[in-house]
Amino acid sequence: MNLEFNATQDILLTKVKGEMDLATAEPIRQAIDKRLQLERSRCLLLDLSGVSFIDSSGLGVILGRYQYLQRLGGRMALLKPAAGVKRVLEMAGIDRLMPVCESEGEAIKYLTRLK
Amino acid sequence: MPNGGDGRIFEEDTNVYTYYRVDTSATSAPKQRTRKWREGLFSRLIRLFLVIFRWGKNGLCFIGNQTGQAVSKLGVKGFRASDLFHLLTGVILARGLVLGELLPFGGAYLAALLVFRPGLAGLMVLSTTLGLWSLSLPSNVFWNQVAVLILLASVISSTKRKPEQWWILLPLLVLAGHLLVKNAFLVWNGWNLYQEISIIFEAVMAGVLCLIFMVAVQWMETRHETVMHSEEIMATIILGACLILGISDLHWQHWTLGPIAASLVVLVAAYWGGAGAGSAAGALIGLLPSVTYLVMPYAVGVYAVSGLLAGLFRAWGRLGMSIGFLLGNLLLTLYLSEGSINREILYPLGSGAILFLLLPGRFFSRLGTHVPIYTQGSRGRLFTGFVPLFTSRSDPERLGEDEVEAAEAVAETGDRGRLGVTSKGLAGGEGTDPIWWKLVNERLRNLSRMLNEISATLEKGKTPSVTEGLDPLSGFFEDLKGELCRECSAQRVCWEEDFYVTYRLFLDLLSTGGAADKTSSEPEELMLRIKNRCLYPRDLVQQINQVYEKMKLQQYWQERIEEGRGLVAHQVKGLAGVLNDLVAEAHIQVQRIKTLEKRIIREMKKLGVNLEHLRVYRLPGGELEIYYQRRDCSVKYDCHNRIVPAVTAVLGQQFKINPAGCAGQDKAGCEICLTGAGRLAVEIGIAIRAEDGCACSGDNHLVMDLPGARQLLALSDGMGIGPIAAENSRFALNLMEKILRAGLPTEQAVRALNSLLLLRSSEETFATLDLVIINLQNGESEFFKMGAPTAFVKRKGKVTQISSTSPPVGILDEVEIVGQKEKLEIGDLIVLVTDGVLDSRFHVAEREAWLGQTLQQIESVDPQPVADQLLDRALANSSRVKDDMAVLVARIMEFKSAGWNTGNLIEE
Repeated sequence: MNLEFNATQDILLTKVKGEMDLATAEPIRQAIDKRLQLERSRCLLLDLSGVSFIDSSGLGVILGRYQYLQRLGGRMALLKPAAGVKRVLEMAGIDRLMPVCESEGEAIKYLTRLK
Repeated sequence: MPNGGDGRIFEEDTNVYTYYRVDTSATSAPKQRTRKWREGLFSRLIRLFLVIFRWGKNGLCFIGNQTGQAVSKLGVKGFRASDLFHLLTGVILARGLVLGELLPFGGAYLAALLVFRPGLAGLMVLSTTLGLWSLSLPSNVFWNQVAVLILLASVISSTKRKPEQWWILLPLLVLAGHLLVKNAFLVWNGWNLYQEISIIFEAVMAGVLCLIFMVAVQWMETRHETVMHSEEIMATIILGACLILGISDLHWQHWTLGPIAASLVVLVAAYWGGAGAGSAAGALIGLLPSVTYLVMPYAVGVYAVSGLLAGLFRAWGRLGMSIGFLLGNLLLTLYLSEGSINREILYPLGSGAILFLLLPGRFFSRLGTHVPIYTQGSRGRLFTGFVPLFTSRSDPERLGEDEVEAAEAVAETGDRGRLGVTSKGLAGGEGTDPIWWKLVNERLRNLSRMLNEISATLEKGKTPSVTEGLDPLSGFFEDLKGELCRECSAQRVCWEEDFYVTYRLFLDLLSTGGAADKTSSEPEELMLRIKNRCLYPRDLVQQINQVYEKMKLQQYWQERIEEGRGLVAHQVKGLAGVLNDLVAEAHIQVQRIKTLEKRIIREMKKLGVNLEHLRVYRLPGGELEIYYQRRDCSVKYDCHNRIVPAVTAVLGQQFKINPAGCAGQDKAGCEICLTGAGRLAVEIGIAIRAEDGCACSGDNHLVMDLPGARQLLALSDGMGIGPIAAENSRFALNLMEKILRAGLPTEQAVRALNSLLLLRSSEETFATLDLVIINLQNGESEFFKMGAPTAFVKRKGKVTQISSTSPPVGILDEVEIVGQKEKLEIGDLIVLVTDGVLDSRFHVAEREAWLGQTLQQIESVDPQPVADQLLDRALANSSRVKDDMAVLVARIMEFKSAGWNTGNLIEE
């Protein structure tokens, strides 16, 4: 599992590589939360293009961040998940809560609409 | 029974005045005959009155409905029969005069009503104008009043505002409308000071009354099913008093409508609230003649004393109250009028008292559902000793049979856990009024509001941060200056001449994250600046490090406090949500059907069976539930084999024992519940496999009967794996079962479950929920998928998919619940799976298609073999089980009723 962060304005772009499962969920959660607080970001763009597998623990990370940002009045978007991951997201109803975007520009446009 | 042949009315009467029975047993035969004759006459008279009353009531309802239809045809949208009441109120209020010349009521009521019913603008202007016309006013007064009405109606009906946005604006509008129009007329006809003051007085009165009427109308229009708040009670009383003003001058021969209505209102108030309420209402009503015309307010005293006496005589029933009221009124009138009393006084008072006696019991029980009736203790300590002699109607009796049965039913079913309330607090106690439920409802709603407030307060109220503002930093600089720099020779340069340079340097030091472990290496530039500026750089860095560590620690604990506060706020909010959901359904009441009980008992006697405590209830949805106890069964499964078929035959619909089973000849006896069985039945098969390396599966299932011949199938997958996941899903299903058994509808049950799961833990855990609710009467079913994968329905060899999905429960504050309906038929197979089954297939695109094809290929129609085969095929997809798997298969079958006549016997 590998995480890359890039904060611009109010948006924290986080690129996740590897699997999002029971073993990696907690470190991912902690790292994103720490960075969100440090950058004082209210929007999170989660790049899932490098995620090869996601299970319910991974979904918990996404839903938990969504809930956290909602309470702050922020937003969240997902970027380019692989077909398998996308199917799991759809199955969990996550695509009803936040947009699953195919381009970074589209996602940033959605997130900056907040302002 | 003293007078058995006299019919139902007489029976009720003897129940009211029980002391007749005592007397009857002690008196001689001629006296008994005389009394019988009198009582018979009395009962016939009452019966005649009731028949006339019923005709009148039905006639009014008919006229109301016909008028409503006629008005609707004229193009007034949404006209209801109850709007006739508003129109009539408009007519009456428009007639209400204050000080012989002011007319503030009509405009105020019109404005208040149009806020809630803008569609009635035209009709209300007409009705209030009609009221004004009936007063034969001078033409200029009439027309300026009509102009005010038209102005108000046109402004309010053309302004699209929500009622809650009118609370301040409307009184101002009414005030301005009166001032504007009436002043224009005044200037036109010639201005004078007296008229100007009258106009201002009338306008202010109209503004204030409009606010009061809004409260009353809001209750009538939006909350009339609920208990009235104190301000609503007051507003309604004032509206009633204004109505009496409007009819005070109407009379026929010796009967004047005003005093009749006034007497009735005072008596009802005394009945409702005892002596206090009676005298208060009397004082208010007595004030009205003085308000209308400039007369001495002696009526205040007369009515107040009459109300007081009526309230004190409350213990003697309505007859006693009427006597008390008449005594008080007549004695004081005699005293004040120096011994003269005429028919104009006597007739209306007597008529009011008679009307009070004739009011049906249902009127008071209806009143009791909206206004908490003052029951206990109101009989007054003065009469406590006489109460057993003279009061025969206990409180439940006064409520009427239907209400008592409903209350009993709630209590008794509650005892069995359906509504989750024990009966002891209801049936056993003194508070058996139906209003009990409404009060509980209101209390729960208030509690929920209070919790929401607390939650909002906790969310808003942040502890001031040590890093926010300059105060902590300036304190820090003061400390530094005082301790370290006190003896330094460069103090004046650093802290006076170059203050901002020093300040900036320390700020940079703090913002880089303190100077700990950075003295030697980094940041080089900063250290260089310190060395260049300070004579004691090492001491300075140490001091700054200490302060920084302290600040960090403070910040850490502050964050923990904020987190704790947020968590508590969140949990309180969740609790408020659960209460709100409960309140939404707390009004559920069930009805006890005694006639069916009698029929069943008769039938059971023929079979030689003794059923104890038999109760038949009709639930809000119309379905029946039967409860009974048995101690004397000689054969096992006797209920299944004999009782159920007999009950089914008596009631003409299928029943089943719920839950199925038999305790045999248990000495303690059994408590049985029979519920409607429906036309269909469901057979279940389940196959579960845990992930490799785990002892238990995180997937759980639930199958249960729901009220109204419905069946619930549920599958849940807890987040994660192993025991934690199993605990999550099991907890979710257990809660779901409890909530559904409590009677909440599915969507509200899921919302309540979500809130409860959120309350359970601050950690981010959730559970998926796959629910199917099948109506066993008609096969209509609804699928709810909360993070659950696609479901499959196999019908006559063809497989269809159902895949609407919402997020899982237990992680988000709000859940969106989308149900998908499907009509099921006999022979259909429903297949629910958890994601582990579908994920066993590597290629994403073919997962659902693969399961559909596999299901199609399976020839068996028995649920268990189908579930087993599907699981086996999924296991065969990969060498290793990566996730828990569960398959729940349900087959829809025709219900086979129990009993000897169907051959469906259970033998020991």
